[in-house]
Amino acid sequence: MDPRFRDVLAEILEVDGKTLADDTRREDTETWDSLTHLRLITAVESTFHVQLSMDEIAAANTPRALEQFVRAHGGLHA
Amino acid sequence: MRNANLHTLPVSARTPHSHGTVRDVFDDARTSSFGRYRALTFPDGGLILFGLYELVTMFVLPAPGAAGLLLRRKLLRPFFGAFGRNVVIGRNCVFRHPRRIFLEDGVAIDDNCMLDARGCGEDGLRIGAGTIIGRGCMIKSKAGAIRIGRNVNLGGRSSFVSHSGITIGSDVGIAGGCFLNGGTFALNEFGKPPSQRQPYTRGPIEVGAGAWIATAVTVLDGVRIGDNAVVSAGSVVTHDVHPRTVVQGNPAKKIFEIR
Repeated sequence: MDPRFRDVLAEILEVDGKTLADDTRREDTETWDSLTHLRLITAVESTFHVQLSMDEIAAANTPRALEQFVRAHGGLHA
Repeated sequence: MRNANLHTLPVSARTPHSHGTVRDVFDDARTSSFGRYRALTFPDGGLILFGLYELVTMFVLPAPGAAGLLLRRKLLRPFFGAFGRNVVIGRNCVFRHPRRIFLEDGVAIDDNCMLDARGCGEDGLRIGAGTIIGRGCMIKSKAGAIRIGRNVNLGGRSSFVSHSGITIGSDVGIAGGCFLNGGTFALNEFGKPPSQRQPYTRGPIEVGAGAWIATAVTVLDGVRIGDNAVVSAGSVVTHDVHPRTVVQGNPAKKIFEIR
């Protein structure tokens, strides 16, 4: 997980970034409810200058999945 | 801001259809108890129709089971402004000023609802085809028309009180325990007890087509919620919500734009 990406996740989900693994699941994370998910998407999109589709947003249920979508849209390079 | 010129006027001054407040009716010493009751429940029609409505109130509105549903479907029609086909009315509902209530085909109103069209005037309280009103809802107008679109779902125990109109678009979902209550008090009235204050209103409450209002949301006076917007559970909406926007919190703030 890219450290910049981990920082955004940790801040929005209000958890210690070290506790987040690539395959941490949304439903296993107490603070990652549907509205927090939308706030997370908004934060990730503005930080990395990408825009995900609603289908991608619905499918981004782990840090790995979300990071892959961000990279697919050209974010998090360099 | 919309209706800026109306801000300082009391509700009754802007709404020629209003019958005044309930307090006005109660305080009217010239009127008998019977007259007050009739003024608040079924004033639009002669005494015979009023007497028949009293019989319906006593024997038909509380009737249980399928027989009750059938009786209400067959017997309530003449007392309403409009009463479409296949309308379902649950037990123990209260309808005040039913001649100003217009129900399109297939409207379903669950038990213990209260619909009061007292302040609606000629425009009435209109409910579109296929709309379902959940158990224990209260929909009343102190002033202004109420329009609810087609295929709307209103959850149980939600409350809709119009001070200058409420419009709910088609295909809206409003969950249980919501309050869409118009009207407020001007700051310069705060020195008086609430019973002596004149309510005022910034304007109607509007909910756009396809919007979803989740459980226990409060929508304040004069707020417009755009088409397909989402208001998350427990929010208090104090300002307009743009279409396709998700808002959350008290006061509700934008957290996401649906694409």
